[in-house]
Amino acid sequence: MTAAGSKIQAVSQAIAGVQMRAAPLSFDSLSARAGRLPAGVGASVLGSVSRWATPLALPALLLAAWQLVAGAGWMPPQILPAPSIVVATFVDLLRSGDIVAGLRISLWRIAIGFAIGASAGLALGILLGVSARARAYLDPLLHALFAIPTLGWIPILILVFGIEETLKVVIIAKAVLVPIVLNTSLGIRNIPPAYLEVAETLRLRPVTKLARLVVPATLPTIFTGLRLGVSSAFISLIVVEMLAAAEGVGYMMTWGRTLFQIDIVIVGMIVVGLIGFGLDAGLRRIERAVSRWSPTDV
Amino acid sequence: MAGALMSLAPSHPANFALSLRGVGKQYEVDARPLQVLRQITFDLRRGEFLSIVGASGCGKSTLLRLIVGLDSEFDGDIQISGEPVRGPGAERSMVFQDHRLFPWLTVAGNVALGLDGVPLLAAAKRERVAELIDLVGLSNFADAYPHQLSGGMAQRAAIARALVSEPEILLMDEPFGALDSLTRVYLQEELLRIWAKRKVTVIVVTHDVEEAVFLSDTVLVMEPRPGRIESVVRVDAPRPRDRASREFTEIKGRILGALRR
Amino acid sequence: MSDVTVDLPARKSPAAFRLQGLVVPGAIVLVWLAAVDSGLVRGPLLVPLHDILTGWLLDESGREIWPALGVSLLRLAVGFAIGGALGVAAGIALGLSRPAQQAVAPTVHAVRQITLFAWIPLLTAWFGNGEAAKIAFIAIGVFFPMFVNTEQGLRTIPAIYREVAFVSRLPLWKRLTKLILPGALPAILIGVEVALLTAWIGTVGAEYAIGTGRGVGSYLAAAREQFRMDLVLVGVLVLAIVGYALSRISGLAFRRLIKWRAR
Repeated sequence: MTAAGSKIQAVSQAIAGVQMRAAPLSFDSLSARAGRLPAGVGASVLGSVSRWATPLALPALLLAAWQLVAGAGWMPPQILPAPSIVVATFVDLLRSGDIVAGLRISLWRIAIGFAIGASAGLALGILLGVSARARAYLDPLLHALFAIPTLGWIPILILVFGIEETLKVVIIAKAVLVPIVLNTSLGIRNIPPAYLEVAETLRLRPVTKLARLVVPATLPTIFTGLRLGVSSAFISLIVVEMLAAAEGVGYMMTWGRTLFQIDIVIVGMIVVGLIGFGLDAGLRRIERAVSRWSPTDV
Repeated sequence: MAGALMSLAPSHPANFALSLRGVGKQYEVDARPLQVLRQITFDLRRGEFLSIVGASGCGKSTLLRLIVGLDSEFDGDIQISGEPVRGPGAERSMVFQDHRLFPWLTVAGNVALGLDGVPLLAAAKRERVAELIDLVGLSNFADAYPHQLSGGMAQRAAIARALVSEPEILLMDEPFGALDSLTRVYLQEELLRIWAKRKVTVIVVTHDVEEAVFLSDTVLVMEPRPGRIESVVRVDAPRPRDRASREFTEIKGRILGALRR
Repeated sequence: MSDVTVDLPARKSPAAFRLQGLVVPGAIVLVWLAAVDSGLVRGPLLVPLHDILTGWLLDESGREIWPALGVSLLRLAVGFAIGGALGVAAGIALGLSRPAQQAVAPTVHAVRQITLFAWIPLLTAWFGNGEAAKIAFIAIGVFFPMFVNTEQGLRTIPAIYREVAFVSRLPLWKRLTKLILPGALPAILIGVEVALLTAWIGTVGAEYAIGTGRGVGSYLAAAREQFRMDLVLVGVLVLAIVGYALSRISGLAFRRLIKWRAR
């Protein structure tokens, strides 16, 4: 064993042998000791200010550098428009209604696609969850079909549906279907057998069993599936809008690129980022509320 | 029919709350038969308190599941008041070792599940639920959720859920096994109080011989491989049982001895 | 149906299970053979099974899939190497220093919210329609999962590793390789699994969107433009099979390495 290796072994044995000391060691406590603040009210105010100021320091720095580089003309505006231009474009597009119109179309597509994909997904997921025979017949086929990423379905479905609205909705529906089928089926199969036995010994009526056992027990997992479905819907929306659309948020970026107006492209990216974040964060919050009880804790 | 009933032999199953004749159960493990229970035969009178003790693997839990109806594949006969058992029934209730309360329902909600199939008006059901919650001493926790209860309290709620439908036979599978010894002693006394009040027939499966002697009128000693009845011990000591008395210790010793054989 | 129950799982023989799984696909194949291959039903999209199964061998345009696959895998490797190295480095750097993490991580996570495909217009504007844009795209797709998983891996290193790292006054380099990296390894490997699949889809996606050059994605775009459903299906099959193979391989490697570590 190397010198370092044996030293490590010796030290770890020493630590294991010694009884616990006061504060647990961690990289965190090292840093805290390094940057110690004075005690008192002033320190806590300073502390809370620095807590939300620190994350903003880097972006502020980057923005300043960006403005400098673009403003001084070191980069042509076709490659890197200044932040000021991007902001101005953002405001323009908002006022002209372009962003709103694009959002409306995109969200409409997501809504329809999600509605179709989620209902089919829930139905299929429930079938697979309750029927072992359905699983036996359908699992291998579905496994193979689900292994084809959404991207792979695009050229196939373009040849079948052309590039009209149907295509977008079908693509989004497919992207939504997969996580919902998987999670719904999983949720149902994971209902703890212990509870099912209770339902049997109490001879619960089917309605009661459904409402008081199956639904609450499967809700957290199913909701996770729905959240992943929304996330997939949004991602596939952008993909399909960029490849085969003439309207929408995704198309906005392609359009900006064609005109070599990178400010529009960047505005589009920011909008996409904000929507993606908002959807996911909002749904995660609801998911946490729904998962308050975990059926695995019998 | 009535005339026939009145002239039944004393040992006829219809005279007993529960009657087992030659009950057996075998599984297939690696394509070979494994006999878990063999020739289990006993009778249980109405209102009797029976404990079943035995080492692990003697099939006592399996036997309980057959009686409550969770498993319908077995040899032999199981009869409740003369009627053969066909799956779960309103006259039998079960309490498991893990309380198995539904975490998303309150105590009251869980207990109410016991009345699901019972044809009563909502108001009457509410009254019954409250009565049972009171009986097990959880009146202040009717609206609490299972995660807010201690192990002992949760088990009491499970007992309330099992008794709310007024079953004839209460089956309990190591009901206090997961609890600390102080809570266990307390709940044993509570169980006896409830039993005396409701006059239900009780079967408790336990590995704790002292618990069996404290609680029961009769103790069924089982031994494994294959699971069968080794002996039946009647506990004639007067109630309330004194754990320190010579009689108690003697019976306990007898059972332990039977287990060791 | 007696099996339609939300009920306790029944035991079933694995052999019967496998047979049942083939019934539906088998039926579809038979119907397709009977209707399309025989010439009974025609249509531009109804491609005979025979063509799909031999296109990659016999058809002149079909055979293009092989060099295309090679090029795609090469791009995948380069993009993965770049994105992976940057992601792991950033994850370690931020995992080691709390102040750095507080300053930098939020920005990285904010940028991560922009879904991968949305980068294409910007990248093609900056780098044109050539290799650089595609490699950059793949690298971005790999960077984020590797960064997130490495950072998380460092945060959750078992306490014993961290304590030893602190107490033993070894140089940083030794500490890194002997203690920190092994401690964070499982998380990093999970990052690799995720990143690999993202990278593959990103590779084909970039090729498909940008269109120029060779690769599975360009192959798909060309096939679609020529309305050759048979070639599209060949391309999609390759896409799916390689993706599946990559997940299986990385999963196996993961289990192997973790088992080795546990010794």
